[in-house]
Amino acid sequence: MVQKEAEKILETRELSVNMGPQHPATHGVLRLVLDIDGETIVKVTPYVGYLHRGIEKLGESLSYFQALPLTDRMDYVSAMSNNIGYVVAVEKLFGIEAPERAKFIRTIVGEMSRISNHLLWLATHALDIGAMTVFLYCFREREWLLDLFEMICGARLTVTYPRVGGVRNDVPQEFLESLWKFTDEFPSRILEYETLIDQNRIWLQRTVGIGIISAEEAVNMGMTGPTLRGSGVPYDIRKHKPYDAYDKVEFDVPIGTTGDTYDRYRCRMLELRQSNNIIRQLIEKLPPGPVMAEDPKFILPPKDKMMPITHPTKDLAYFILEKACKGCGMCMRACPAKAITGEKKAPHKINQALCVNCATCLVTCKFKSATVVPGGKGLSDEKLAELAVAPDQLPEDIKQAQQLLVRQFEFIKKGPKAPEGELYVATEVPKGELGFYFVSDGTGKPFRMRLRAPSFIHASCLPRLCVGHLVADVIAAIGTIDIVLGECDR
Amino acid sequence: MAVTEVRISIHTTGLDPKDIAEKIKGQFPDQVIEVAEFRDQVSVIIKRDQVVAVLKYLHDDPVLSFDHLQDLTAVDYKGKKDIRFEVVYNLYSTRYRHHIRIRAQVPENDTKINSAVPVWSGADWHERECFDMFGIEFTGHPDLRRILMPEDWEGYPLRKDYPLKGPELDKDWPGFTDVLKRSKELREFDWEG
Amino acid sequence: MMAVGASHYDFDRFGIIFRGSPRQADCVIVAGTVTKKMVPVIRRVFDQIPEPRYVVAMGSCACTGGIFRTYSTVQGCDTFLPVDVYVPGCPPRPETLLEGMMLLQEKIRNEQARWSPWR
Repeated sequence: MVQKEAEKILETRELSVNMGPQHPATHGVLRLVLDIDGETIVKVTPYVGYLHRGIEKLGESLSYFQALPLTDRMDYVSAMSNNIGYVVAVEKLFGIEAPERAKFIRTIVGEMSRISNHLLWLATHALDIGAMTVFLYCFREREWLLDLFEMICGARLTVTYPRVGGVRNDVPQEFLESLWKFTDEFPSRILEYETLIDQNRIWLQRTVGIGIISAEEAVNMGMTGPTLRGSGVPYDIRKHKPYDAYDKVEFDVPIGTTGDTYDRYRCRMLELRQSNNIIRQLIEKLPPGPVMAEDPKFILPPKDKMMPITHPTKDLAYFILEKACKGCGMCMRACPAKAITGEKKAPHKINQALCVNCATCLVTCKFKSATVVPGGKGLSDEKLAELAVAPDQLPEDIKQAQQLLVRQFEFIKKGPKAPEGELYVATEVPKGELGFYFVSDGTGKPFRMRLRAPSFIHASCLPRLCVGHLVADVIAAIGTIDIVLGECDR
Repeated sequence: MAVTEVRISIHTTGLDPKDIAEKIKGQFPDQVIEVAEFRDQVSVIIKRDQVVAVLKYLHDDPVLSFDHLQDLTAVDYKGKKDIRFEVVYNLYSTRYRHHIRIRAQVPENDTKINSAVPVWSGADWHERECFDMFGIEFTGHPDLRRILMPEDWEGYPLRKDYPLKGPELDKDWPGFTDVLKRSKELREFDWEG
Repeated sequence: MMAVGASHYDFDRFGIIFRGSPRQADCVIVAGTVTKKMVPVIRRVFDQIPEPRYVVAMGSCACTGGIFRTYSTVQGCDTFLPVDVYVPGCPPRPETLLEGMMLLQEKIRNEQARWSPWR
């Protein structure tokens, strides 16, 4: 009887534990509800959406150029790769091609961001499992890479360096020298990390045999990237559908066999070495040339051609011809410095003290009454009235600069008119396959911008990886699928 | 436990996407409405009645072998087309390296379509996101509820008639407005007594 | 923030360590975009911190909502939390965050009679 009572009191039930959105070991705001029986996991339910910012809807209200910084903030750990994915997709939509040098530079920074991402992955994965030294060592290398990023574009994390049609600016020579030195020293650093954890008994016990998934199941669930290649599927977009300069370099792709956490770890470590090799080949083969395409229908005009009429230090003065001015007031409304005054139907006047030389009035005026006087800075209004000529009679380079400025204003305000159609382009970011699906209706803003994020799919595979293991293996599983919540929730 | 480095070739062996579209048309002649092409990518627009049969055919056929569901999403064509929604499936074959896109039309008054989870289990969360953002119901889905927005959110954000800035403060999600009210009360509380 | 905790820009030499539980913390750093779904969670974590407690809003999105003016983003965490220091930037450089924490330390040093009339 005591036995029966004891059994009634000691009935075992499944316990539901919440690993809340705010947790030191989940990489970001991921919420998991674990149903556990003792210490073994019966069911895992992930809840995402705590970082959903509405990037897809925001992209529909911005032009193609303006939506580029939004993609930085998705996978903020490897921002260059996201930008490259977006830029490759938009270039294919427009039907333009970046120059050779720009493609090589984009591939170089793409591989640098791959190394940077894998270093951060290793640092956090090892820290969660317990190897704290690896965290500090990996961040030492990462600081070097982030300093290199800062050297080329001024920002460490959310760069917006790859642009539609090429890259923002050319790389300085010291960048290439420092990067070459990095590739010389990096293999010995990888050896350091591997010495610490590769054959370590604790590491092997915590990663071998954890989260095994077979090749067919992994493909069926939509996994991509190193998470898929650890299970033995040779799917790498850099080889299947090469973009940028990936068809001009030779590299191997590490493929695993068993599909457990250890294989995925080894895949990523070998990818570090391969990326190092790719960067060395690219620096050797880097061709000279321009870094931005010149296409009048889709690309912003080069800034130096517009300088004759708008550079602030140039000796220019803007003037409204009284005879031609109809007094419609359009330039007065458009002037950002509020330097134009005048009554309706009466000729307007520009206040030279307030004018900032932005050329908005020159571009807005339909009656060709606003004109520019080269060399007229500081002169009085009467002298300017003598010197000013009608816009048709200005010198050639000023007229060309005006055309380019009109194009610049249109592209910034309304966006370049993309051809109608739809497109899906996928690129290989460090985490997997990042896909962009654009539906364009012929205007400068995308009608539908869909981002297919690898972290979203991998987070849905988490229940399948954790069933049957212990609670501590959930942390190892989250580390191995390498998710970043900014990308998962968009 | 061995991880080997493999030199995968860049050589593609896949079928031309137009041939794949012809095969689909041959197999399901009354379901295909249109075949569109843009920049070497082909979309096949079908009716929604037998969409799972079409997807299963594409998955199981040994010559086509579309084993990788790259993306499942929806597009809202409000005002531009008669049938308002389209569910878009982007498929890829990791063996033969060819790609096809299937678009299934879903009308506004009856936003239901069969779920693709029996064919690819990875379609699970994609369909939940479509339901969350557009309100399209997938019949046969194991667990259809909101994923990115809070569970009791009202409205479907990615529809064209939903405002970008969201609902007004008084009609906003109660979880948020409750916290705002409570923090305001705490701020104005007279601690000195 | 992780870079500040690593060895190049060491946080520890300023006397700042990351703790796992809000019950053992003095200050909460709200980093990144705050969405409406996350608001009750953050408020709950903040309520669990024993006084004296401080809030640092790190990043443009936590300060004012940043570039995301959408249906699910809260325009600044100061709508529901009493913020002490705002650290701007997208993302803020590690030096900026260090400056922000030093400003917070300065603020704590100079304050009187906030938590009790006996200070």
